[in-house]
Amino acid sequence: MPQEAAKQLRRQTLAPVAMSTRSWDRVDAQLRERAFFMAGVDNARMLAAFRRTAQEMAAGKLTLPEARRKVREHLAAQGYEPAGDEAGTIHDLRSKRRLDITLQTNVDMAAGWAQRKAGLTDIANPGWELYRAKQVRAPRDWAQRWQEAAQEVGWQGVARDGSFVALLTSPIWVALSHFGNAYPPYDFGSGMWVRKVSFERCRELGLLEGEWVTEMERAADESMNADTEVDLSDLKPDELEELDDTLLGVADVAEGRARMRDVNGTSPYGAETMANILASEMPEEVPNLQRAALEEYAAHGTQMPEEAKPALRDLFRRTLPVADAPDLWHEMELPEADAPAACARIEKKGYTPPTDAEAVAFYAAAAAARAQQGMVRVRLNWVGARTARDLRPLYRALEQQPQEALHLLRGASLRVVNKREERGENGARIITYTVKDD
Amino acid sequence: MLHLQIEVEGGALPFEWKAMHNRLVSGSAAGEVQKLTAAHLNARPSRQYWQEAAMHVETAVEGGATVVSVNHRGAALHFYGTAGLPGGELRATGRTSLVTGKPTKRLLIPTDDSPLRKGRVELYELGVAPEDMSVHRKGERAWLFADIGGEEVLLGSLVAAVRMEPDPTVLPPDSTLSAAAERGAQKALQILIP
Repeated sequence: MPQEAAKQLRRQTLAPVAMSTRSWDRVDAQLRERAFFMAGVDNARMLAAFRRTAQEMAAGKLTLPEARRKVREHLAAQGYEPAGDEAGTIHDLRSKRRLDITLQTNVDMAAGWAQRKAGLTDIANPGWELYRAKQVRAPRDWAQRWQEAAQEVGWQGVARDGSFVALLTSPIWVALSHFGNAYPPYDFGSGMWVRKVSFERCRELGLLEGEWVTEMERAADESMNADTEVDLSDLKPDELEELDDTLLGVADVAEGRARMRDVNGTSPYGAETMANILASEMPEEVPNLQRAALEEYAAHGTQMPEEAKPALRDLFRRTLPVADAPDLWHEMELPEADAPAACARIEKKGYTPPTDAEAVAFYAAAAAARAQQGMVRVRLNWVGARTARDLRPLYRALEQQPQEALHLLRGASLRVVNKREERGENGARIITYTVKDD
Repeated sequence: MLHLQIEVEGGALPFEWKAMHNRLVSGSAAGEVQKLTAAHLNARPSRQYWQEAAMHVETAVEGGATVVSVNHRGAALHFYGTAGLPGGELRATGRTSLVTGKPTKRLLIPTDDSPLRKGRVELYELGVAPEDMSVHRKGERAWLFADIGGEEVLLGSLVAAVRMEPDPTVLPPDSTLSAAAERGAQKALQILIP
């Protein structure tokens, strides 16, 4: 079969093309969230350092030169390289350089994230190797950092032959990173980057165990800002409160940590928490695509703009299923002529929502089945609806009145466990399928 | 930016394989192309320029097509040349210079020994004040010098415009890229269907 499939692979002429921006809209929104979050945290730290230094000066504990040196040391500790004693001049290169480093780090992070996300679907190259891509003035000891990180994660997914190779899914990449990211750059101003390692080499290194393909696919579905947290134990309570106000709906600050809410991503939440995120005030520069998509869906249903559908699907899928796995039902009325084919499809492949439906409503309270003459009523009794979503809080977040129903999402499938056929009062056919989550 | 589009079809795959594994097959095709392109750029001689370009090779799979981008300032300029620009030339943008505070009028082309090239820095990062810089002219030609540590150092030549011919060797040949895509897809199929 692979031979057959291989015959179908064909070459195309390579030509420069304009990049479609549609699929990058969500990436763009996630980048804006990340940039806003990092700038907020970074500024809060800088501000805190400046304030404390100024307070010490005011209290007579530091002279001005001592205060300047302390701030410079703080900048260096954050990874910035001061360019000499030029504070206060019109050529404050330190500020520009700092800005450049911050900007370049953000740009590089976006590239690193994109390469990881794409790499997680590249099973022909499931590994990464850390290497020096460019020279820097003061190289860090990455060999030592690698060792320490590998030990920290118990060498999970890490090669033990002395190379800097690990599976993409290995936790070493997060442990290695100053920023807690699984992708490069791994520190400010770092010249280290990653290159792909083939399936064959990873297998030789003994790295490919268990369900490694499934793990890669699962990780590929995570969004950029999922599980992004920063330790803020160096900030005081009033500084944390100020940061919380600054970050608005982008992140939560609690117990000495700032955690991104992943507004435009895929981090899962219960329906009420998700509704809270939808309703949160956002900074002007960060769009809330999922809220906008839900507004379009509420207004236009399946006629909503195509470009908004991916964000809507992200929103529905990340909303966790209801906890109590209730019994639900759904009914369709079909012309007699269409019923045999539709029923045959359900019995063979199970029930899946129609291709143009983002979600199908299932109701809790059963009603007596009736069918018009010439029509066949098909009822689905969904027993123990494990994957049903309660989308009502999301609509209420938009101040809309939702259907009193739970939903089966597009892409989900219910298998038939029982079939019963009966005649209604007027002789019309009523077919009832008992279905369960696949 | 450079964008390439490569289509790899798995038309003979059964329905369930298409649904479950299509993205792994196309992802692997894209991955091999990314790997090849990055290695090709990394091997180009430079102190850092092409190595930085190699760090920014990205792929995206949209439908049946793989789009490969090299997100690096200047890479597109080298690949396509300046023919597509107004007048077929690259000229100063006229944006405000971070050194003089005035609109830029000329392009600075660092010499091989220039501290700009050796230090891999922009002009404003040298820390030289505008009053310590000087322009030497001879006819139509001009050069920028800087007083660094009491010594007059040549930074580079100042030109009104630059013409660049397209350089297709920036990227691997079409046939090589297509072969890489096929190789990646076939490898994925072999892994998924042992």
